[in-house]
Amino acid sequence: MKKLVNKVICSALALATVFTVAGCGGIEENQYDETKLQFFVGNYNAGYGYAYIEALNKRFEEKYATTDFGNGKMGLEIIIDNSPNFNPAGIQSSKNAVYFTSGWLNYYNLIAQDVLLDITSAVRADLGEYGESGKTVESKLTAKRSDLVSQYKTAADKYYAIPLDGVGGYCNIYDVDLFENNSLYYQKGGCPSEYTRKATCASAPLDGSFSTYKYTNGITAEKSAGPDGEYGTMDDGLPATYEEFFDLCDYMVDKKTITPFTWSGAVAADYFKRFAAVNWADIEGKDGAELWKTFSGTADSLGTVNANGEFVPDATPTQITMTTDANGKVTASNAYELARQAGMYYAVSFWEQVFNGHNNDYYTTQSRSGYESQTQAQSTFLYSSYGAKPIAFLADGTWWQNEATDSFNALVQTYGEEASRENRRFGLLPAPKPTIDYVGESSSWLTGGGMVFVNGNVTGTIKDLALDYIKFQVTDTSLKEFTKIVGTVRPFEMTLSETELDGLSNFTQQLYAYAKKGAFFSTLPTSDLTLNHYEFFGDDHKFYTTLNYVSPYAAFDAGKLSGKKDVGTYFNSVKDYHKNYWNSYIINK
Amino acid sequence: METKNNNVKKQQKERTKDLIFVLCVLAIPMLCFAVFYVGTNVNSILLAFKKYTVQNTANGVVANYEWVGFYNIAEFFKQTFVGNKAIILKNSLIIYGFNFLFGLPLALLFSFYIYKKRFGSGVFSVMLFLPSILSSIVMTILFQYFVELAVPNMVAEWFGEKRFSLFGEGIEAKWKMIVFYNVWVGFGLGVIMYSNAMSRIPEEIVESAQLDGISTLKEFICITLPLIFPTVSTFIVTGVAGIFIDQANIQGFYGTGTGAVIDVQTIGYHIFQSIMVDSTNYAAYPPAAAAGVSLTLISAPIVIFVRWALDKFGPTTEF
Repeated sequence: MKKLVNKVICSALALATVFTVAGCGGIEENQYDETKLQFFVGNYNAGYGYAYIEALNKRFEEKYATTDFGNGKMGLEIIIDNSPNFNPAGIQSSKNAVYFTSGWLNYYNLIAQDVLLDITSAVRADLGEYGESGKTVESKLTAKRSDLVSQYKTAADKYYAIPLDGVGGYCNIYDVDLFENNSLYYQKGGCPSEYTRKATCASAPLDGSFSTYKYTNGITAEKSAGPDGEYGTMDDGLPATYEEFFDLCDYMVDKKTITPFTWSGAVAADYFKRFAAVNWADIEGKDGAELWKTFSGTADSLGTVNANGEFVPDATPTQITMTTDANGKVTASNAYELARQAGMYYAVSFWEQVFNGHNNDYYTTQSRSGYESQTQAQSTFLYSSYGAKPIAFLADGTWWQNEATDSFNALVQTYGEEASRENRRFGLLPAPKPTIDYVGESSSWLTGGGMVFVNGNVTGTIKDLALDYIKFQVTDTSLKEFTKIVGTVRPFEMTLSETELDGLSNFTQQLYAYAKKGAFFSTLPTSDLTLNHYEFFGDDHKFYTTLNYVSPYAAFDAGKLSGKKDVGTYFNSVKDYHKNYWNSYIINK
Repeated sequence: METKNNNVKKQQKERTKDLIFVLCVLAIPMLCFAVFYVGTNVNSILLAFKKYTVQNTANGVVANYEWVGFYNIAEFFKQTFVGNKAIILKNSLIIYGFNFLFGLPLALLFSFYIYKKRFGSGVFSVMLFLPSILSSIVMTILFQYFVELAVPNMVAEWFGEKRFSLFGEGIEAKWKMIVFYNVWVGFGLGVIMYSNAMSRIPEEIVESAQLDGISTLKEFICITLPLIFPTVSTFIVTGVAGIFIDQANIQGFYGTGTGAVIDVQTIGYHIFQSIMVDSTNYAAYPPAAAAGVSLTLISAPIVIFVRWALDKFGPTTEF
């Protein structure tokens, strides 16, 4: 009897161990509508939120409201999973048919692992059923962002995902209302660049010479031309050069009790890798950035630093070359010299001055604190204008408005509709140029990843629906809805009417306008070389150093970025890092 | 004779049945062990000698694992011992050093205090063990908020000092905070185990010593420590074995995503983060596997040596 009892207990225990094999996580089994077909969507619920997906799903469900899917299922029920597992194995075992991500997610690796479905048929299908005959997802993408076509279309001429955000990237935001109310804009003729910018600028320099800084609210007097050197554009009145920018910061601190910057201390070490890269992209532009993809061409902005830590341009341009053998292995290259681009130096220089300028008074104390999250930094920024010490700039990303939805709602409850996202005015701050020589060049911003793909394991009806879902979200209606809800712009051809623009926030209007001008571009890897050194060639690796600092902020945090000499040291160590990496991991490897 | 044979056969049959039953019971756990432990570890070891590449070809996107011999292991040694990742080795040793030099003695002292049932010993045992019970994420967030928000705000309000920080400013301050936190939370399990071991010391030995007029300090050094040495020795050995896998609760401070800067990383955290930062980047797996293999080759002989040394030179007591 005892033996039998022992055997029963052992059997029960063995059975219990079976459950250790079972996985955990996934979507909670809620009460689904048994009369409808369920369609699952996974979403990385961060800056973009999921309100836009809910709106999209509602219309997609309406489209299929009377479709009989068989087995007693009439109509569609779409369920959003806001915490999906983005690991390849997690995706493959998931019920989610379509995924929205905020990052690049190593696209080509996912394709190689058969995680993503080939959606070429959907991308090239005519959108006639949605009233856009003659257009396809591909044509709308090509018309707006041909650089993204080369990233998403494989060498086999196939698509496995489409981009989510066309303007999604790191940026600085400025408070337009604050600038107007405190007359923080430079007047026409009120700053040095008005007289010294190149004659080739869209607006010629003024006659005479600069004597004293003059400010305006932009209403009572005309604003200066700004970094693009052209009057009548969005950047009018904003500082055109580093010198003007930091003079403005001093003016804010000394005369206006305004703190120039705030950012999230919790993610500063990471974010500043990308902020520096954004500065680099603005200075080097698309041509300079393209060299980092092709590793072939003329680099005319390279330089070195002198004993004082100042940038000294090379006397002659450098020809960047790369030779490979029959197997594609790199046998020789001087592409690491690109780390000597002027943009690399000046990006570090800019942030060094922000960190150390005016006795560290250019940023809030919260910016150095690990508890200040992204949403808290947004809140700090938004609420500051109602307090004694407003903040002029927020270093964040173009998704910030959507991410700050709760803060905007709270402000509306306290201060009324004038405090809403649509009514408060913020602008996209174009980076000032390092020197007067760069004034007149158009502003640029880097965009990151963020993509939409279909799970490779879908079949049958769900597969057909997923492919249609891809097309559906790129219709004009869906694109406009995305812009209205999220406040950013997808990289597909779309034209907003004046009425539609008026309904958007000032910041979104600026994003739309800059996107139309082609100010956003991507440098995500596309070649085999860059794909297989994906980490190294990503934007967030550009400012790694041999001194172990991965961004200017990390060096500053360690007390090693204070003054021009430190900027020079940082620049040299970035150069060494890139050279070491090429020699250790790429050339003849 | 026939009866005897029948009995033998019956016993054999019974034993066979028992054996079959045991095998059936163990089958699934053994399968789990084979797949999730043996298979995973064998694959990890093999991965250390491979490289993962992706090619975007006209025939499609193709992924390959190529054999690269000892390249990954050589790179790991080069970077960690002479290269720009030497700091993570230093940090791992610092964390262990502080735990050994401060955490271990303090845990022993606190355990002794609790064992002696002095004033507030009940409260102490709860307070010291609490970090081990609560979620580490909750604890690190609470601690970080206290250090970086509560204390500076209190000082600003009471003394008007605007930029006060308990550990200073910058990344060094962050590192000090992490080290302090790890020493503090490291007490819990040790206190429970040491005080439990101390409670097993025979009363007669202690009473006898007290009758001879032994002081509390001498009792601690000459009686308590030698008698609980096997427990202490176990913790020292497991501590040494854990030097290179200790993540020092860094993820709690820095969260997921790109995580901590290298200045505050330990080897264990670095390996973990190299995978976690982008789990779709399969190219990061072979170097991480190589790091694991290399660290096993380094730490195994060290652990064996430490174990041998403690057994040889430590007090041998039985009770």
